[in-house]
Amino acid sequence: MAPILELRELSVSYETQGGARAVLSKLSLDVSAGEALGIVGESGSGKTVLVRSILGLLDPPFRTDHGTVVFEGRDLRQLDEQSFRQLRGGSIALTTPEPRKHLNPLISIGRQIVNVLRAHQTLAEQAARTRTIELLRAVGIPDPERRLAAYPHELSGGMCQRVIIAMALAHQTKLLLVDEPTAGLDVTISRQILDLMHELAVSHGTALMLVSRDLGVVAHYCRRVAVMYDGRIVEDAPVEAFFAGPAHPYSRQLLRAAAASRGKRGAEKRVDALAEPARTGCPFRPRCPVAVAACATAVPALQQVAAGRRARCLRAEALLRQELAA
Amino acid sequence: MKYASRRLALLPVQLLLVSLIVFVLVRQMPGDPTFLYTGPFATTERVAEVRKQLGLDEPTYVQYVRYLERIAYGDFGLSMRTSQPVVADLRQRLPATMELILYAVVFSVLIGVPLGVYTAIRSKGALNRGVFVYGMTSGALPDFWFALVAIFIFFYKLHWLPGPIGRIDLLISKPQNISGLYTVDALLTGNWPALASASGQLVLPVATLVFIYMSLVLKNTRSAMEDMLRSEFVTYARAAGLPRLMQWRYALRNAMPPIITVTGILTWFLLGGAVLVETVFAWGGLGQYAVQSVVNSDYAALQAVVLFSAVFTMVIFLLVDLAYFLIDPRIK
Amino acid sequence: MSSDNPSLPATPLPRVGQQTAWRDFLSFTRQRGGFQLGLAIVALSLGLAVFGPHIGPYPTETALPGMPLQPPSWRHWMGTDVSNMDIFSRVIAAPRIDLTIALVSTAIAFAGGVALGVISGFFGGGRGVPKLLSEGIMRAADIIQAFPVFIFALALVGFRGPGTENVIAALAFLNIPYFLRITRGAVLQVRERPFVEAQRCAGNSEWRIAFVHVMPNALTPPLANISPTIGFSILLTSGLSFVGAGVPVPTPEWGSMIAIGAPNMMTGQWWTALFPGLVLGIVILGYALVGDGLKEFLDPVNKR
Repeated sequence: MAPILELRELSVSYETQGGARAVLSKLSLDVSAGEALGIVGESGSGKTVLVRSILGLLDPPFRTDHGTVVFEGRDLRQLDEQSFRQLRGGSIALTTPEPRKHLNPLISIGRQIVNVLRAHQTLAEQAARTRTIELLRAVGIPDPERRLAAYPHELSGGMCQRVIIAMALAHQTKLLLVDEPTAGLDVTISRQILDLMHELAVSHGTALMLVSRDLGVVAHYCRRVAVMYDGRIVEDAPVEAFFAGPAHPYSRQLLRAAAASRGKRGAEKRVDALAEPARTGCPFRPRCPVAVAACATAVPALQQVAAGRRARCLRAEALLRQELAA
Repeated sequence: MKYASRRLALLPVQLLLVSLIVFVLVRQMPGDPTFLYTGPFATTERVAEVRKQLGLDEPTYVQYVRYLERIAYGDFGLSMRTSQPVVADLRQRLPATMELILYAVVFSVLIGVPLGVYTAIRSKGALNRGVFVYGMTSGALPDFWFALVAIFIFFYKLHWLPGPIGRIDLLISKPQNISGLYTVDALLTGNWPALASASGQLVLPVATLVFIYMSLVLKNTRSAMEDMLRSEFVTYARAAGLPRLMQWRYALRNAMPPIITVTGILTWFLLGGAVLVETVFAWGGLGQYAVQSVVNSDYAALQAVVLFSAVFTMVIFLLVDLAYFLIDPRIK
Repeated sequence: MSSDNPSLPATPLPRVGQQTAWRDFLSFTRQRGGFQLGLAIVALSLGLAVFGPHIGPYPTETALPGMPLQPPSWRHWMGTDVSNMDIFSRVIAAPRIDLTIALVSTAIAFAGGVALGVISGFFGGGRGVPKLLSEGIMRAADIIQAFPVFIFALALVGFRGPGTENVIAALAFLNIPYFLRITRGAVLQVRERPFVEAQRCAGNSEWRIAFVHVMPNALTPPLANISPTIGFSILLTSGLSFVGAGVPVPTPEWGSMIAIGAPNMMTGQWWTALFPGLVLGIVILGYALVGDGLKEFLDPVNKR
């Protein structure tokens, strides 16, 4: 399937008083039309920056140094604000963690959805309201006519997330960026929300890029998974193969931690996080149980290590053959 | 509704406390407070009579109760200076101060809020630097001095504006009294000469007040707008494809509560600021009356002005709270 | 915004200790022209407060022979006023009285406001007598702040009589609620910190914890506000003196000098009121700049 989103060598840095710090380093990634891709990594790996970068929402002190973001054949980095605006909330949409915070507290949700609708199409007020009611119904909000006048603080977290989804899928969305869908929500509620998103995505043929710290969610709802570490993709594999046997030491640590905390609420894995990424050579080296001397010389390239799988590790193939005990 | 009724219920308590403070203040003064009510020229018998009425021989708390009774009836005593009941003095002078404050608030908000919004959105540029310098200087310069300099430049040197002789030119009679505000009354009665003169007289005092006090509105509007522009829901609005104008409207809408608060605080400040400005411009309002009563040890008058200013402040803040209540659906 | 911004680069932990704090302060100052200007002005004002009355070329309270209202010249840098007193000498002598009033009243307000703020903040929300005390303090502060500041100052001076001591008392009284609120806010945060609970476990009494352990950690915001309060007090003093309710006339004071010069402003002798007001404004600006700088310097470190 043709990729609708192609990221090539995307590099983003953050300016501080002490100099520029790399947040994304030459990141390359593809998302195919209609596919569900999961992005996992710990906090600080750059997942949120990646999402914002695709939508062109990074303001100074963030700076995009290099790279292309190609959506449906157009390089988004060359786009002017006006064209980008039409794309946002239209072909590419975003959902966020902590949904209530992302809704305007002083305006009714009905009006907020109407505003989003009218920003993308010329629609009369009444038609927009009707469409809003349809959307609310589609995301499973009961009694939508009454809910139009509701304010965000009157709705539960789950309902707010549904409102956000309604806004996100209001137009023919080709790519839905889902940022931490389970954050701030009850486990049962987030399950419902994820089912809803998945269902809508499948029925509309929307590609999904699901960013999460929760491996379980990725396992369940995604076809492919990409692992991020220190601003780079370190592994990229189909979900079944990945969970059967990872090709990167970091992935292995993640899986192990997830297994250990399975059954506990909010399966956020606690990984051995005390070591900072290395400045030279493979950044994972300080935490890597299977590193060798060669790992210190340069950052390994993201290479094909099996059918449809890439990994950024010199020991990937050995890992795959289950030779390494670490 | 619960919130509003709670605020209203607090009001009498606050008023009571205010009256207590003023009562304590008045008793600080040297001399016999009886003269506040009889005037300095009363006969000894009259003084004794009034002393009895005031209950000055009785314990303090009784005096306080009597004092509250008198206030409730609007009896604030006689002004030593004007020999009129203080209440009458206040009634004559109140509209002058109100007119000044009204225009000062209106212009401060009309200029300060848009400027604050603009500098929040566009955070670089010459206008921003100018605003910064303005903020620093307006906070440091004394308002009475500024008024004098303005008079010197615009009246004495340039002859563009009339001198500080009060609210209206001496040769023009004041308009028919409807509201007490000369400009409004003149407008309502079609009295163009009075309107022109009164407006001319208003320019310098209002400009002084606006120059000195607008920076409060400006700074607060700007910081409120900046906070809102950085908020999550504005960022999400952008992510959802809303145009910039809409994002700004979202931000402004949410910046309204602090802007309203600062307008209330501005009004409170202006009551104090009006004192000195009125004195310089011989305005004949409450502020000048307050100064005159201090200088002449006219305690009855001073007490009334202090009481009034506290009540005025409380009313302002009550209005601000009510405005909040109307704007923010989260308060119930 | 924590969920929107990725984690920021880890800043190194600030080094503890007196010497490094001083060095940080110096480098902070070096980068900020406004702050340097403020410090210079404050230093100058303090110097003039001590030496001002002595270094002027002419006496400050006696009239000179000759025609009054002389414009600025080489002999009289700022001209003379209606009683033919040299304005320049008086202008540089004025800081003595203004700063004395401002410093004393601010010190009193600081001591009283911080103490009351600690009580009100530490015991607020609890139970029993200390809580009533805390509530009572807050209500009293609310009521005092119900009066516009200048009118209240006028009233305090008006009822007690003019004169330097009464001005000091009035200003101190008016500024207490301000320090009170600031300290209370800081105390409310500090009292949630774990070390407070630890002190409680060690058996310290509540009052001891409040004043010996919590208070020192809550001092930064009120300290940062001392400088702007001094500036504000100077402004109020000159306002009161301008209307004749402050410092008695022959003493050189910027506000009363402006009052003396006011009628002359309107007849063209601009120097009589311009210079005192200009210098007054510059001094207040200096204290405001120092206040802003200190707030910026002390704040982020305190946010940990």
